[in-house]
Order: sequence, then structure tokens, then C-alpha cells
Amino acid sequence: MAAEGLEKLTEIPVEFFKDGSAFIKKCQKPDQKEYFKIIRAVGVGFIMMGVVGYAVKLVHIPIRYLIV
Amino acid sequence: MSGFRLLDIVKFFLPLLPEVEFPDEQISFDERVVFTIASGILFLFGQLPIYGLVANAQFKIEDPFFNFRSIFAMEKGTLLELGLLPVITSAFLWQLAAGLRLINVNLGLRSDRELYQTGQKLTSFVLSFVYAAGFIYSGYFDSAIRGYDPISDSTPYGWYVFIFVQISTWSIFVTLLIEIFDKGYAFGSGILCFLTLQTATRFIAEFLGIEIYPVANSNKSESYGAFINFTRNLSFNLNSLASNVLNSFSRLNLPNLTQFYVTLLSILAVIYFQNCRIELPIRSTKVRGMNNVYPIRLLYTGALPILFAYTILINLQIFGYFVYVTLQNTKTSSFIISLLAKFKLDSYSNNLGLTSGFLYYFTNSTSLFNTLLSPIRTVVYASTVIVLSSWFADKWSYMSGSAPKDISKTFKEQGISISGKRDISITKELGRVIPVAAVSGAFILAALAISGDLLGGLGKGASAVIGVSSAFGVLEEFMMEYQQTGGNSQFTQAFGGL
Repeated sequence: MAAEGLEKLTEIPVEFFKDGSAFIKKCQKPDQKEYFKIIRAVGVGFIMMGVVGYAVKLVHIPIRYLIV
Repeated sequence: MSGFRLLDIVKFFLPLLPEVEFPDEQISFDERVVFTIASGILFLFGQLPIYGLVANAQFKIEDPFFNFRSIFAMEKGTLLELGLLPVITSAFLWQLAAGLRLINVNLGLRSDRELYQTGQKLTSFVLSFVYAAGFIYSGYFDSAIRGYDPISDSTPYGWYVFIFVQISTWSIFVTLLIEIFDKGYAFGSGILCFLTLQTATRFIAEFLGIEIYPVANSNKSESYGAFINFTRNLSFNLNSLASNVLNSFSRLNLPNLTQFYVTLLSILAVIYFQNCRIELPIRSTKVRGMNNVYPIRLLYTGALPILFAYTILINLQIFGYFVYVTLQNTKTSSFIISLLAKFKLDSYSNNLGLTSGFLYYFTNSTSLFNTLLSPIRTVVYASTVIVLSSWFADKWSYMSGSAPKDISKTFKEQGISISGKRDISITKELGRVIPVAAVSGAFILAALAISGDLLGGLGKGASAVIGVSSAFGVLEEFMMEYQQTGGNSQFTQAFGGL
């Protein structure tokens, strides 16, 4: 009984790994050109957001000195 | 009446809670942009310090949650002390309860949906009260309250009430800000949008931050940004170059370069995986010769599974800490306490690190060296995150509105079918692909987040993974909306030349 239960327990991850790796193999991966294009687009957006956010954070510094 | 429903309790609170009204008319593209940016800025203003704490309180607070706080935008010693934690926790609680059919709710009905949202909000409010009270009870703020000496003075109840009101009110405010997003005034989901914003801001601040802070319990000071600190050390102290370089890669009181590189690599990897997909060939049943592809992404469930895993972990840590403090206050034998947790204060960074006990096994390590030193913890921690997120992804791919059944229903409505398959087998075909995609995607993201953690990213790799993959969701909705308006927006006209 115990061995059967154990077998079932290991069966799920094994099956999952089989399915998963088959899926990943079938997946269409971005080629280099596409990848760099996306990195540039996302990177610009991300950095812009970060700079604006950080600017707002810098505004905090004088306010901090005012309140504390 | 078909029995008593949990949802009906919420009805009682419906008129009492503040609420964002549904928009009366279609919100235009420009308005949505303004709403998004304005709420983002308001959110960032939550990083003002709490009134009643000493200056630079973030270095004086003894912090037991430093491993996870970056994921939930919990900013030490500021109004965002609780960050998005109450909102995220309550959202997951309700979604799981509905998805696993613990509560009986029909989200197709307007009245039910309203009650569901109100319930979520109510839970978030209650949770923020609980967290705030727990933080204060556990003496979290004691070392930073202005003009208070923990040894000689009596308990500062006045300050306690003051701090409680500040953090819980701000948490309620953040919950309402998120409701603005969820009711269609802005782009994407509020939680994910704020997480993205927080990650981006942190990324820049940690690399280039120019503020200079004193180091706790010493008379030195260091720059906030890891890169700035690195270059500053290079130019001033050529003699002790090696130790300075080591310090800029391993300091724990402020961001270090290791965390920066972990974040950067995680971002690049997520962008790669985000664009892996399987394309199912589809054809129209109405128009002959209309062929197209329907992409099924590898990261089908996005960042939600790992966010879920980390939500469970941090709640375990927080409530574990509360129990730990309660046990200490009630003078339980130290053996039982040491089974639960054993904290050690690092005087350099004022972090309360775990050294042993039950909770210790569910924390990430501060450096690669620590990872190798404690293999059991590494394995337990990694497998917890992976199992939790895979489990959630599997469940989520059936629960959310994008389950195989729902998609095949939309296919049928739009007169689309998969090439070479009959109508009936569409659900079957989708059911074969989608759960596998969801679980493998969640597995890969979890592995990515963990490898960041094991290298000493302190949750920053994970927060970058979550932030970037949520950014894609927001961006997608933005682009779709933009194309629908035909690019006819005043912003494009104003910024068109850029």
C-alpha cells in the first residue's frame, strides 16, 4: 500500500516535468532581433517610470526635514 | 432563501464603507492616462515618514521582515509601512474562497459582484488594523519613537494610537486607490500597476540614489544608491580598495550591487520568458479562408502565482513574529520559543535575522555564502515557493475568467475554431494546453525568483520578476485601448514630436 502511495506521489511531478518540457520545446521563442526590440521598449518605459518615481521620492527629502 | 450565505454578512457593511462609484459614462483614453499617473504619484507620496518617529527612523527600527518587504512595497518607517500587503492578502483570500467554492458567489450577477468587492475591501481594512496593531504590540516601533526610552519610560500609549491611526488610514487610502483602478478608471489592475511602479522606482533609486545616510551604530555615512556608493568608495579610499568593493557588493543596511545585478538579470530573463508562446492556428467558421493564430503564452497566469507564494510566506513570518512576541511576553519557556524562532539583531543594519527555529526555514538568505551554509533551509524554502506557486497556477487556470471553458465559449461566440478540430473538441484541446502552460510558466518564474533569492537578492529579484511581468499586463491593456481610440489622443498630439 505504502509503496503504491509513494508511486502516486512521485508520478505527478514526473508527469508534470514531461508535459512541461514538451511544452517548452514546442514554444515559439523570441529571436534575437525581437528580443532586443522588446527589451528596448520595456527598458525605456521602466526607466522612465523609475526616474519619475525617484524624482517624487527626492521631493520627499525636504518635506521630511520639515515634518520630522 | 437557499440558506445562509457568508456574503450576506457583508451586506450589513455596504452602506458604511467608503466606495468608489462606477463611472457613469465611458472614460476616455486621456482621462484614463491621467487617472493612472495621478494615482501612481499619490501612491508614491505614501513614503512620507510617520509622524512621531525620529528622523531616519528606517535605520533605527529593528526589522524582522527585511527579507520580504520589497515585494509588497512595505517601506520601513513610512506611511507605507504595510504597503500593499493587506490588499493583496485579502484579494487572494477572496479569490481562493470563490474559486474553491468555499463561498457561494455568482460573479455574473451585479449584486453579488458588488458584495464580493465590498467583502474584499472590508477584509483589507480589517487586515490593515490587525497588522498595524500587531506591529505596535510587538514593539516594532519602540526603538524609533521620538523622545521615548524603552527601558526607563512608561509605555507611550499616545504615540501608539497616533502611529496606528496613521498607518491604518493610509492603508485604507491605498485600498481605495486600487479600487479606482479596478472600477475601470485607469489601466490594468491596481495592485500590479503599483507593484510595477514600486519596482521601477526602487530599481533607479537603488542604483543611482544620491542621498547620503548615516550607518546605524557607527559614525560613518554611505550613499543610498549602490552604484554611487561604489564609485564614491573607489575615488576616496584607494588603499582599502578590496574591502570597499566587497562592502559595496555585500552591505545589508543599504542596497548593494549584488541585489542590483540580481534584479537586472531577473528583468532580462522575465522579458525573454514573457515572449515564449504556443500559437494555435485558428480559422473563422463564418468567413472562408480567414486564418489566424491564437497565442497561448508560457506565462499564462503572469506574476500571480509567485505573488501568491510570497504572500503566504510573509504572512507566515508576520504572524509567526506576533506569536513569538506574545510567547515572550507571557514568559513561556525559552525552549518552546526557540522551536518557533530565534532572532539575532545585526547591529550594522538593524535587521532582526532569524538564526534557527521553525520560521527560519521559510526565509531567504542574505548572501550566496549563507545559502551554501544552510542547505536544509535552502531546499525547504525553494520547494515551498515552487510548490505553492505551481499549485496556485494550476487552480488559477480554472478559476479565472480565462479558463479553457471560458475561452472556448468566446471562440464560439466569435465564430472561431481551431484548424483541424471540431467544435466540441476545442475545450478539450485548450484544456490540454492551458494548464500545462500555466504550471510550467509559474514553475519557471518561481525558479527565477528563487535563484535571485539564493544569490542574496533579498526578495529584490522576486519583486523585479513580479513587477516586470505585471508591467506587460498593464502595457497590453494600454496598447489595446490606444489602438481602439485610433491613436486619437491629446497626449499623442502633445508628445508626438518626442
